[in-house]
Amino acid sequence: MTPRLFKDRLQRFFNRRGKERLPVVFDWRRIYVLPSKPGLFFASIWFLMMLAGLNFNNNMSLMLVFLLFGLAQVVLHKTFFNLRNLRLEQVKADPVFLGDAITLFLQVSADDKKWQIRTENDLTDDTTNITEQSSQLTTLMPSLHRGWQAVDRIKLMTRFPLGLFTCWVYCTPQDAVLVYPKPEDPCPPFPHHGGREGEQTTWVKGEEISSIRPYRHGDPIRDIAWKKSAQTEQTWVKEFKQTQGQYLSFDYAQMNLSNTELKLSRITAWVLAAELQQAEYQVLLPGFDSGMSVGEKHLHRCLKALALYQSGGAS
Amino acid sequence: MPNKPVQPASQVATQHEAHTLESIIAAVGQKILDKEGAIKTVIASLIAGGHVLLEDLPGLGKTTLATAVSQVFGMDFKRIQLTSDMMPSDVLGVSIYDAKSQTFSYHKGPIFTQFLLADELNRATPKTQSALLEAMAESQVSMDGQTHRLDPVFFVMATQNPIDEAGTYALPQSQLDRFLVSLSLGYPDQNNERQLYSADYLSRFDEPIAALSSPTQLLQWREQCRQVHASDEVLDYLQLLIHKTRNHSEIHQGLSPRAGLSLFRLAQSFAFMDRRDFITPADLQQAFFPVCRHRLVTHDGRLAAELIHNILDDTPVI
Amino acid sequence: MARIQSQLSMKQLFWITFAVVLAVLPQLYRLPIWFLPMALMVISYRFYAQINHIKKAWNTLLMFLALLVLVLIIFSQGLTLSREISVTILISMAVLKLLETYTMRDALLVVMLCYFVTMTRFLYSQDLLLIFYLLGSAFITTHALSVLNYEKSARWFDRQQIKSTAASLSLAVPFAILFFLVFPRLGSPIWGSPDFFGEGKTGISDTMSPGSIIELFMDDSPAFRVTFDDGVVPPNAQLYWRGPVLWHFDGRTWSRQKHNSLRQTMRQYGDAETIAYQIEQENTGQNYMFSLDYVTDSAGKGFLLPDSTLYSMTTINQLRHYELKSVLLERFYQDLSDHNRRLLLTYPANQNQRTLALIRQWQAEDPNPLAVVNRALQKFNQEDFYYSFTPPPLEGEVIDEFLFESRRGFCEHYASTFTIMMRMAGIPARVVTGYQGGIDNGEYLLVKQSDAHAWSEVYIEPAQGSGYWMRIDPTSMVAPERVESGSQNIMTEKRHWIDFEWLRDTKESLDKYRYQWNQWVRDFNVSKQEALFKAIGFEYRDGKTLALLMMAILLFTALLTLIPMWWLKRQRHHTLQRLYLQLVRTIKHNPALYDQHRKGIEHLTAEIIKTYPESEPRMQHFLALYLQARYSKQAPKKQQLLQHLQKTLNQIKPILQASKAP
Repeated sequence: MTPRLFKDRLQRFFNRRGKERLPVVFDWRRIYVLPSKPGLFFASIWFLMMLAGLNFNNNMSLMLVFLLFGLAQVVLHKTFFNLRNLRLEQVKADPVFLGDAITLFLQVSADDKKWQIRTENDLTDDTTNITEQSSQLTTLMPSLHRGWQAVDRIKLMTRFPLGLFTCWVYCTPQDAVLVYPKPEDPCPPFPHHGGREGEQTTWVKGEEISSIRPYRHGDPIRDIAWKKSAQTEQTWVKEFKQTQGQYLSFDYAQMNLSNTELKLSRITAWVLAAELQQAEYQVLLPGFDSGMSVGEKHLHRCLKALALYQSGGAS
Repeated sequence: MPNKPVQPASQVATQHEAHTLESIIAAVGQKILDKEGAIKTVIASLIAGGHVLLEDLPGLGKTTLATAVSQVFGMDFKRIQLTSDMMPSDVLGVSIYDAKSQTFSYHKGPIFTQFLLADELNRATPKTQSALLEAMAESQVSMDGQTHRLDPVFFVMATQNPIDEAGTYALPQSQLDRFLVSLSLGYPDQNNERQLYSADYLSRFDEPIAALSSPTQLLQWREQCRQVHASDEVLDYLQLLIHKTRNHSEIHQGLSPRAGLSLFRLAQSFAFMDRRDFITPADLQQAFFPVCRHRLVTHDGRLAAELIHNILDDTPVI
Repeated sequence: MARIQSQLSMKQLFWITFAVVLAVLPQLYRLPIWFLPMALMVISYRFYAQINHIKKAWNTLLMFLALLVLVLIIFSQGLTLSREISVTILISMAVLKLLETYTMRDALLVVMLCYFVTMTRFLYSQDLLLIFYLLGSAFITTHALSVLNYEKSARWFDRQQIKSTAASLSLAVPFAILFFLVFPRLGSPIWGSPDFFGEGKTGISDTMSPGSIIELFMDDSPAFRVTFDDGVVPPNAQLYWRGPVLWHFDGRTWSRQKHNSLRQTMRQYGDAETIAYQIEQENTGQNYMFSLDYVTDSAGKGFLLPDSTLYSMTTINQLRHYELKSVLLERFYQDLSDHNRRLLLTYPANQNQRTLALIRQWQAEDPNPLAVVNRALQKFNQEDFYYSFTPPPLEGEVIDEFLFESRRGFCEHYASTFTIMMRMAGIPARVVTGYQGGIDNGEYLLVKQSDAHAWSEVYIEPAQGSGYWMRIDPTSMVAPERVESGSQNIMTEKRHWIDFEWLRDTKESLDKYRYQWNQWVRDFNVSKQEALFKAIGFEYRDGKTLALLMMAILLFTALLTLIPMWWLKRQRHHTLQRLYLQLVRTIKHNPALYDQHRKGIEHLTAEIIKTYPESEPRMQHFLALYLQARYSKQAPKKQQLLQHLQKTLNQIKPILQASKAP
């Protein structure tokens, strides 16, 4: 068997449970145990000690050697019991933009106390103790494509109490995380009216005073808040809420970019920019019309539609 | 029944009360169709000596429920419609200078009653709200250095309209804590709604309910209710539930010790209504939702109704 | 576990250092003199660095330091590849490693080295008291590992965590015992010899000069233990344990004669005359074995030298057991060759003229050898000679000086003087060293180093060609109690500042445990193991059986720890909970219903009634009683109630299971 084939088979063995609905209880059947690196070092020192003890028939050395062997056994069991019947209650994650790392919050719980439950991967690691029924672990996962991205296989492990053994479990939850398209950076200017590109947009300064801030060099004189400035020693400037004079409509069909992903990426950038400026906007995708609005709910609705356009761009 | 079960002694003692209680629930149920759970909660709260917050759209029977309950217990009933121009004295009463006797005489407000329906509590200004709630909490009114005790059975049912938020003053969390329970009646289901229009129901509707109990008996019940026992196991479960609300990742703030006490009192009351002199986990489960409903909010300020059920589901009783 | 690269906390450093110090401490006495200051400096610098956040020094500097220490070790212990030096290097490096222990990886290394360092101590001694060291060091080292792995709290001595370490170790103890007994041992070492690690020479040596026995007298440690086969200990005055016999005297020091032949065994004595006994001798680093005068034969335990000394073929560096038979003879007939006679008549010429003159005078009065012997003994007995362990030092002609000047001495003075006097009188004589007496503690006779003794043997030849050896103990003339009741009982002064009677008594009673310890632990070997296996009816013959046995034992021991842990970890239910779980199990065939059981019995009952309406009356009854029993204030007649509940449940079960089929 080639190593590669072997590895594949091993992975298939690890993943044999497929995707699971949470909560999942990790009973003894699911727990893998191997000595850790310090454990191997311990074993080698132990082996040397045993050889010396046996060779010289030094009974006290052998006593120590066997005591340590017993200790290793006990620790093995302790490590195992520390992970046994751990529950993965739920996995939560906020939507992210493609390219950002997905932060997964793993809610773990147990009926007894669990110490030093740990997740680790190439990106991050986190450790927690479950002393009061439940606790949370955080781990990262790269975002690979827009749309629903399945949560990776999660590995929960522990080396408590002495670090000589690693006990771990695998679980691939059914859950998926929504990945929005990557916003184009830098954000291109808004399309004019119907969404044709390349033209300058016109901005109208709003009338409503949104806030007052200290004077900065270059602020127009007519914006100075005289009353307020007279009361204090500083010069204050009125800030106007900038309201878009026209409605922004981002129409997928009217964009003349070659690539679907590029188009979505640009619309995403626009949506975010519009939201930042509190301008009302509308996203038009084939089969989707967000309607004209602004606000967080609207933003997420649009982003979700963008993410899931053509069933999420999954390859 | 093939084997006549041995009737435990403690059940016999409260059988009479239970019988009355069942008929009370039934009587109120004649007026409010298909809301037995809510009726039980209101009556349990009444027996536990706590006030009720009803959050509902108008026209779902809040007033009907209030009058029905007050009638069945033979209580004095007063109703105040709270508005933003209402002053605390409109609720609590006012001291007026009597030129003749050269003293202040106190004119009692509507709060001096046995059953107070405070409609649209969130329309009142915070000042009026807090005056009312303070009086509720202390069951007395202090004015010009004089204290006037409220009626011993004093009970408030306050209502709020959750939808129409314009011009309202939302009650702060600390004030909400003064209500033992909060509940929402919701729409009746189709069958029951149809019954509403039946001649039978309509004819019944305007008739007052005959009093089946009295404020004196209510006071007795309150006293008995406090004797209901909670075993260590039940207290463990109670603490676990409270603990879970405090450690929940999505809940902004868990139950306070006072809320824990409310939970305990309401569970006692449920046990009492079920003719038991001890609490079981099911009493706590039953009491948990109405007690938590207005107390637990998520981080973004929404009610955590869904989460409350989750907590119950996640806390096994074996 | 925290990351392998993460930095150590103060608490972790403390525990590591604690582990290192404790592991090294019992070997301090044999380490070079500069070791302690070096260790103290290393430890204080390391803590100083930790407090002031000083980063790890350059590797080259540390390397240089390590080399420096290496040179120092070679300088103080010599450049050999002995194991002695390897252990010193190991210990020094473990201590020095603290200097560069800043990360988890290094810390783990140091801590695990501590286990090894602890083990090396036992290569030097396996005394009973070291068991405390073993357990203590194993505990602290394990706790250091635990603290490295996870700090449960910031407290330095977190009681909970210490308890947990203690629990782990105590659970490991049954393992250790079982494995100790059954783990296959090697009959003989694969490499090296176990004798290599000696504590240095102790006990009687093959030379004697004034003061050498006094040195031993100060030492209360056991020399050997004797068990007599018939359980009868001979009277104290007959317990002369023969060690090296000294022939040559250079005017100050006695030394032994090299022999190239062996003594014949005595076959003429039957079991009635002989005393059979077993000796368990502590390691001495020498070859002498001890026997009662006179041993019949060597019994294959060593060489029986012509002067009746038993001489081991190998150095006694481990506990040595041997069985002997002796005949308590007053006179031991043996031929004496002319060569030997000459040697035994030699004394330093032109010295001790006053003594010689005295002997000549005695001979002139009565030439009979026995008369001279008696005259000499009378002199010791009747003149003012004293038995003392603080005699004045002797210079120059020691015999004259002792006999006529100081007159205060220990057994070696009397034996030496008497022997020379006899030689001057033409009687072949030699000094015998060994032990005299012993403490009978019921189980065995304990002979301590302080029982060391020296006496004389003279060769009397009534007729030409047929002579016998006769033991003469001149000390008994001066202090007869010494021979009758033991060396220490005659001393009124303290031997040294910590010489208390209660301490001696404690040591003696402790020796009983030490004896057991020796029997079961120190001396446990292949043959004892085989005997053990035989005793439990198992004789192993080949590797396959052995492998199977080992597997079985491994499995068994795994269960041994697994079961108690399972027991501790399992969810505990009281009777009423178990009753509820019984109910739950009966509806296991209905998963939808079964899932409801976590919500409690009241909820479940309602659901069951919904699914199986026919069960309602009984279920309701069961529920009411169950709640009453479990939650009410006073459950009346609990036992009866429980029985009734069980009965009701048994009635419910068939109803719920009957509906299983559809």
